[in-house]
Amino acid sequence: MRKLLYLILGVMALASCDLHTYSNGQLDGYWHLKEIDTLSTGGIKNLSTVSSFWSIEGKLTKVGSVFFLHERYSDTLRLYAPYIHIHNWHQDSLLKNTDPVRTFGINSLNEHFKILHLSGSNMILRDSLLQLNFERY
Amino acid sequence: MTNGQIRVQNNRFIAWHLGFDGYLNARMNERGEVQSDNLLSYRVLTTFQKGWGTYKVPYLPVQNDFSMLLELNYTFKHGWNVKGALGLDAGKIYGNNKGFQLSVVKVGIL
Repeated sequence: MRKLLYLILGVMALASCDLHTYSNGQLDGYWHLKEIDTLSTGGIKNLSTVSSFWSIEGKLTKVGSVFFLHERYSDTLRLYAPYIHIHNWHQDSLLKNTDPVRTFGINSLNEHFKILHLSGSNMILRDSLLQLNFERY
Repeated sequence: MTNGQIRVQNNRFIAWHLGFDGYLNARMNERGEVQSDNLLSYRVLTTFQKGWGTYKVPYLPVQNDFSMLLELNYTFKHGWNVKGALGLDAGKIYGNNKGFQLSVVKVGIL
């Protein structure tokens, strides 16, 4: 009887586990934004010596102090629902404007980038205004 | 670090190391062993490193560095031994440095 009880408890314990794994393939990683091209003017902003990073893992993309949720559909990367992280997790708040992320090449709170190139070492994203050139770091 | 701070500056790196040693005038005795007196030997250690800094404070851009040790050792009779070593760093991680070491060793009773 006791063995049966242990078996039932064991099955219940295992059934309560829910393991989630997310892999975004080559998109996952620590990306240095090394260049921003303004499509309308052809201007190029060189950021090769500027600390400007995107971190992508699981369902989140971290840009500076801001966390976006992301979704990828084929060659499109959508960033949305940005929360800004201030000091501790209890003070996180929904981002109201793009000021904190504009220098990282993001000009919308619901941004859609086309993935022009993605490899183990480089990534190129483009929206209607900008082309962002990254190197994996 | 050489700026007076105690912190890890570079924990994300790839390094390739090559080392080898040998004799320049080896002579064998009748038992097939290398004769230990009047023997000139060498040792070369080289490392090439590519560093990304840390996640918190990355190197921008990625930094490279080359380090090398070249050592010559001469063993005289009666346990005397003279060794000269040249070490150098070249690159932006450790900077450009060089140093020389000379040692004289006597093994046994003077």
